[in-house]
Amino acid sequence: MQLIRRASATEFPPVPTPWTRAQDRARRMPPPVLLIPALAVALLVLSPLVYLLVRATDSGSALPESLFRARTMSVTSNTALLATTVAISASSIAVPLAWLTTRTNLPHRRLWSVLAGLPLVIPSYVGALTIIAALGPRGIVQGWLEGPFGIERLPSIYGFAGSWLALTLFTYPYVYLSVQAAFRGLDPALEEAARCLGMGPTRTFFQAVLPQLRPAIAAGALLSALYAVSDFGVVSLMRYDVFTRAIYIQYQSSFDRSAAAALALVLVTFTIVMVAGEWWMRGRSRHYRVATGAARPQRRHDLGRWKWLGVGYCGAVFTCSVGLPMFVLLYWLMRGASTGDAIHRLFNQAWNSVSLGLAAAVFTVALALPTAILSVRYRGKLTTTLERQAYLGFALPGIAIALAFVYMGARYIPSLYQTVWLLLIGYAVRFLPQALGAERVSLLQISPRIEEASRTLGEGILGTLRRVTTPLATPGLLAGFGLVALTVMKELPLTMMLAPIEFETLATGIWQATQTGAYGRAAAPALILIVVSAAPSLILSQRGFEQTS
Amino acid sequence: MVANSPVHETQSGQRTLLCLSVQKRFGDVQVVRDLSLSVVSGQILALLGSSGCGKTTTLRMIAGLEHIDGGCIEVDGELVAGAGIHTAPERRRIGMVFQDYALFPHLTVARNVSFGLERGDNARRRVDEALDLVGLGGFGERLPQDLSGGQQQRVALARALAPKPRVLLMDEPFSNLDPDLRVAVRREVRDILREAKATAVLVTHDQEEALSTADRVALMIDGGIAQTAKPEVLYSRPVSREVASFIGEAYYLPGAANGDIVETEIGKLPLAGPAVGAVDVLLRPEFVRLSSSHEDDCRAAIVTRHEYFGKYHMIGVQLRSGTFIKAMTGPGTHFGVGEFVQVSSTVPLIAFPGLPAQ
Amino acid sequence: MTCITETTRLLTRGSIAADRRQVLKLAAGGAVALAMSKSSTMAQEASPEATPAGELLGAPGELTIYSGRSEDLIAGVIDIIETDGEIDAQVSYGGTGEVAIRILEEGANSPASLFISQDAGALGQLAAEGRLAVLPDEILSRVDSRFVSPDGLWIGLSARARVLVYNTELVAEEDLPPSMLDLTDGSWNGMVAWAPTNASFQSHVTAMRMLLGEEVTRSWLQGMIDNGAVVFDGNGPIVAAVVAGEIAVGLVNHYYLWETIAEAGPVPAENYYFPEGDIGSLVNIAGAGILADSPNPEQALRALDILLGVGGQTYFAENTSEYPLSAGVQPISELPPLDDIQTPDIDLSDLDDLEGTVALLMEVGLL
Repeated sequence: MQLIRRASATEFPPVPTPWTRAQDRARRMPPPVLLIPALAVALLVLSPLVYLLVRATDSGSALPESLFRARTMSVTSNTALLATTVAISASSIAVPLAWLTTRTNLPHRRLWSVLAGLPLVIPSYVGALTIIAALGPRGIVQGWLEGPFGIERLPSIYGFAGSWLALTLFTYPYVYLSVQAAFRGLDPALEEAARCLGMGPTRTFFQAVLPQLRPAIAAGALLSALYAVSDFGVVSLMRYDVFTRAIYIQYQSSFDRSAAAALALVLVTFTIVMVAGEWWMRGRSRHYRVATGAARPQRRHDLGRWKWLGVGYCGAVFTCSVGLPMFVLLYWLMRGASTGDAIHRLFNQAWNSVSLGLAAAVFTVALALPTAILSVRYRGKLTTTLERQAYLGFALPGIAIALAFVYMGARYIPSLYQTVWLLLIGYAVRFLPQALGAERVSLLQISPRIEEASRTLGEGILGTLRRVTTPLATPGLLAGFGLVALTVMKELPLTMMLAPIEFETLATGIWQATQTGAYGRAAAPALILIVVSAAPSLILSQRGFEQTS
Repeated sequence: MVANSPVHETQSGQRTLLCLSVQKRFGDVQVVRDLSLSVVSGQILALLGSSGCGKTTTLRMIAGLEHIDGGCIEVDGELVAGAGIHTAPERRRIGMVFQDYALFPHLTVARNVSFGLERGDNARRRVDEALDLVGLGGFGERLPQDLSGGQQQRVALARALAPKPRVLLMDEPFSNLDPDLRVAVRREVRDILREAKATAVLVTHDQEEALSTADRVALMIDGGIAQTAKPEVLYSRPVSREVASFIGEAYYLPGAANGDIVETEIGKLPLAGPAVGAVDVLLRPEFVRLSSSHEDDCRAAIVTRHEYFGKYHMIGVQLRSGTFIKAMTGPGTHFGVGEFVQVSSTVPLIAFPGLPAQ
Repeated sequence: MTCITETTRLLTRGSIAADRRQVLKLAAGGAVALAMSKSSTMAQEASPEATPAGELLGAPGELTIYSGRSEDLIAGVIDIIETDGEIDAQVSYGGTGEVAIRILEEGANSPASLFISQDAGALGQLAAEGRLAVLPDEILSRVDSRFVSPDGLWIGLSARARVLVYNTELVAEEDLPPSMLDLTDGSWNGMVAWAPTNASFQSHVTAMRMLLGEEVTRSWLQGMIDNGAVVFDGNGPIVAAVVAGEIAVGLVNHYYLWETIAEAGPVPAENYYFPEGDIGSLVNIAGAGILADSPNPEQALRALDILLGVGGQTYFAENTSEYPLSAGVQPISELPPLDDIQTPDIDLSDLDDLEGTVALLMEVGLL
């Protein structure tokens, strides 16, 4: 979770003289021991894109027509609407939460600070299912209202409203964690200066504090929006026509891989525009720094009588985002207890999920490392390109990556096909950005001088990496590791298509159960998945808490 | 070739480090041009220059952390850079002490020092030796963060010395220390280097540091070496106005030279070397002697400024021609603003060819 | 040999299609069929005593099955295949559409030998792309030709009828309309449940488009929407709502009601079959096909044999309340006989134009 805590840290650590900075920025020839693996990783990441291009151009003349249909336009605008509104609402929920848990005397502040990040462990498709069960037109809530109030039907939650609600509730932690880190790193002198200049507390917040937080909010909101754009589970359950769903329907209904690939390419373009926008913003606020660790403890605002309103707010967010899904899952579990899967099968699924998550995390973190080092230590056109294109995994829909590896795996590397190895490669492509982001942030905090010291003491590039860089980057590597493990355990399309036959995970178990509407049976694996992923995320956020306080 | 160059005095002994016409560009900026220098075994050379003059880059090129764009670098007669060769830093056996020390924060002091050593009993002994050398015996199990700035500095030194490097490079090693501490640590480091018989290059922008610590000082201006000499020579016999102005305070007085004597508006003054024609002589405040005079004396000058520093007075004097010079006088003397004084020199002076009239 | 004539027949058909690639693929499919039936015949000839008539086709060994039918609805038969057929089966589950696409993308190297599908559409698509092998006559002849690919490339394993499930306390049978098309009548306002995202429903709409045309289908869909038809997630939730009396009637597959009854006992709901060949009482199939590039055609054949045999068919009849299609197995007694259902006249392999259906459903705003 540290990735997000520090996601908005500056591009470069403080440097003593402008001259040294020039040296650090000077283009140096990247060493082959790093460049070759980084290029190999880049090829791997590009391969699904190549697959999509090949597929999309299959249909030849039909392509432009399928691209410019009115539907593509409406899908684009729906996607843009969803991404924008989710980013805005996630930020609106997250900023007050971050403020309350870092800068006030909120009762049980530490507890709330951890709880507020927890919705990240709820798979969004499980969350959406439980929201439908609870708030659907004839869901659980309607059942409660029917007796006393005679309400027979709640307004439909399907479509935009439900998708927006679910994605907001389960992605706001991205903004929360990023802003929380920014709050902690904020120099209290700024606020004090504003107060001395005669600004009231409110004006101080909006004019001195909030502008400082902007990059952190933008970074977090981008993650929320990217999630919204790439998520398939929520929009398909909520039946909202955005890119991922349109792509899926195209595959599912017409077996038309060309049209689906063309749509996927439009989605890639869409995502690139989004990410480029954030980069552009980040570029403009280069001198901004957070997470340097304030020298002095920050003053906490006394909430006074508003204390309980603050607790109420945190409680309400937690109830909706974690309480509601847990409640529905427990409700299903009770109801469907008799039809539950055998314990040994659940255990097997949990074991597979956890070991797959850990293996994928190790693999992905390792694959991302050469690219991360190159982009931080050997800045140049080539290395920057390598870094940015590694973010493609964020832009590609899961099903497209899955099919690309099905295609390449079965046709060209049958010895790897339907083995855990190919699945791990697929995960790595998909989740490389998470590992890369965490690694970059922690590498940026290590002075290049320390690595050079090792070189002058007789260690080579790889030895330095092993003896100096890696141990120092451990917190960042761990954060990336935790995040990848967490998301891999929740992942569905790649797992379904690339896992060895009869290799079951908690996620596929949930999917199997929901296929036949056996929600009672879905409840057990879903609850186990949440508990299993909550453990690392709690430890990670706790670590972050101790480090920064 | 270096030895024959007019700006470099001849020296004897075995050359450990030799840089010849080294060039370095960052983008369009030529940061090091035609740089040549040499260091004799066991000697400490200070590379002195203002910030941005390219001295740190030079050090990094010697260490192998930067590639050179031209020229060559030899260590112990072995070509390490130039002619298409670039020996990786880890294979040069050149130690480096970084400005911010760059200690490994995840390793204890002892592990920091043993980092560059092969494992084994020998290494342990060497670590103890190195730590004893820097006076930190018994600190081995501490973490760098728990040490003071001066102690960290010495750990960095011990770490760099432990593998017995052929040359030790130090990049502004004292700049992160408190001024009080700086002088003491400087002396200590100098003694340590002497004891270790280390060949060292010290980069600094502090001339006092360079002059007091080094056996020889190379003054770097605009990416090139302006003069390399023993500290006292550099101070008293600068080869150019630039060098003279960089080291200490320099004021110039125009005059007409004729052999060992120069005729100036304050009278005839002795020259350190023979010269002929229009020259400017270098007057440093501490070479100037003032004595009381009166307004009628046509050679008298007027005191226009007075600053008191406890140990001495710094007196600003304007000559009749308008030329301004400064004089340092002992604590007992006193010349007030507006008084008339007579100016003379205590030592033979250096003359530079006179600047063409503006 | 029958399979040779079969191949020839196909080749002639293929050449009419004038697509050389297709011909080659069909030829390849034919070759597999040839290989399969040759080896089975050889086995019979080699040791007539050891393999008397009625013994299983194909051979024991390893087999990879891709199943679009979810585990709940097939795992029991897989057990039978493993024990009776001495087959070590590996099953990969997924949505029917996803599994079909996976097979297409895997190409000739697909590890799968047998594809089990929830509907005829996906089988039709794989057949059209030349990815299915021609099945031997011993298999094809076991099922009514209504439920078999005309090219012999896939076969129905079980049948399911579209019905109108109704709550007997809210509606009397005699009040139910004679045609599904009448559900747009104002008297049914807000009383009908449907599940537009459900694959069976979509197949049903595809059939409507084939039989009645695009215009009629569109206006019926629009009429249903205007008449307040209530959208549900799937067949299961519809039946649950009808049983609970939350809604009067719903368009579903017949067997969901029987699953509910099996779990909860008698309920106040019944299935209504639209009479006289109405489009509302379409009978569709869940089926299977053997892949053209199957690594284990013999084992796939044996699995198919078991699926169509007494064991497999009984499983479909009893566990999933579907209509068995072969081996003389009878559906559960509560079901009206399959032959009594007056289904519309339609070729199931024509139901592969799901794309048009999806486009139409999107156009009217149901997807």
